[in-house]
Amino acid sequence: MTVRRIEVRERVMERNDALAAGVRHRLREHGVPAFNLVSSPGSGKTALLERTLQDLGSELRMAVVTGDVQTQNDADRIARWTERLVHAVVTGGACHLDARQVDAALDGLELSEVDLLFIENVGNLVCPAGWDLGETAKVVVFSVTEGEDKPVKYPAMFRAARCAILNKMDLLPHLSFDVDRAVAFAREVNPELEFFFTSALTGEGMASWYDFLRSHARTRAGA
Amino acid sequence: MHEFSLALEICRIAEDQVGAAALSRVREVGVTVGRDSGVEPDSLEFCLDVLLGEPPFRGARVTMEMVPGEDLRVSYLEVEHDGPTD
Repeated sequence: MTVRRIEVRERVMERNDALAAGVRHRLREHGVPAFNLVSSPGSGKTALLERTLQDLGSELRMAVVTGDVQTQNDADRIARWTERLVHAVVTGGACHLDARQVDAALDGLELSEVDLLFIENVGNLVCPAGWDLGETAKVVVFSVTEGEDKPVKYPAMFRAARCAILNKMDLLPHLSFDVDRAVAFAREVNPELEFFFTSALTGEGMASWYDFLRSHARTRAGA
Repeated sequence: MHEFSLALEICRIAEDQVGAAALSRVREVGVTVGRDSGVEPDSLEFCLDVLLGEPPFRGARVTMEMVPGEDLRVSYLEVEHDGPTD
């Protein structure tokens, strides 16, 4: 009995990256920008999405792919605001979405009728940073109830993101959170980060976020 | 756990390479870990050991090498080859 050696040299992320490239291509073909919303659990990501869908729903046709480890709670909340929710990927343990799941989710969407796609990732500031989903950009959401040093504790994610949303601004009077310090930490890690300061609850700061989304979305003239 | 899904992917790559039927004959899996990949090698090795100790595998050894760069790769596989009758 002999042992033969097979040279492989394959990148472990190869398959995901290939699928992500496919997703990116499909989205570009239809002119649909896709934002991968990432955060730790409890940042207000879903509330932010709900508010966005509610406020912009009459203007933009938005679709959402959501991921959760368990339950369909996020999907159920979001489904109230858009007909274009595509699964609820319940990962049952996986701590991030992967490109295969997003690719499959796109099959359930009529992309020619979508102006904007949101991918609501699993609440996790670590793993999603390494998994390309074919998105236009990652948007990292964190909140004033977290530490100001979040960006330097999770630099890979803040580096991978194009935008950062600092949420729950309505709670500032009750906290000793220093916004400037948090922004400084974030810019230390990623000087190019575009910041939004929001309260999904009160609507504060959402206008700038909406302008950002509008500038990326394809708007259909007329009906 | 992140390293666990990476370990699963490594096992899938092995299956792609040698076919499901040959997985029990895999004796060694060589992995290179980029220093900037963000992968925790001990954690990955632990997860791989778990997976390689279960069917369809039959206890393959993991050899991990740290290398420059960002990539995590399956470098090679060593597979038992049925020679002429023993």
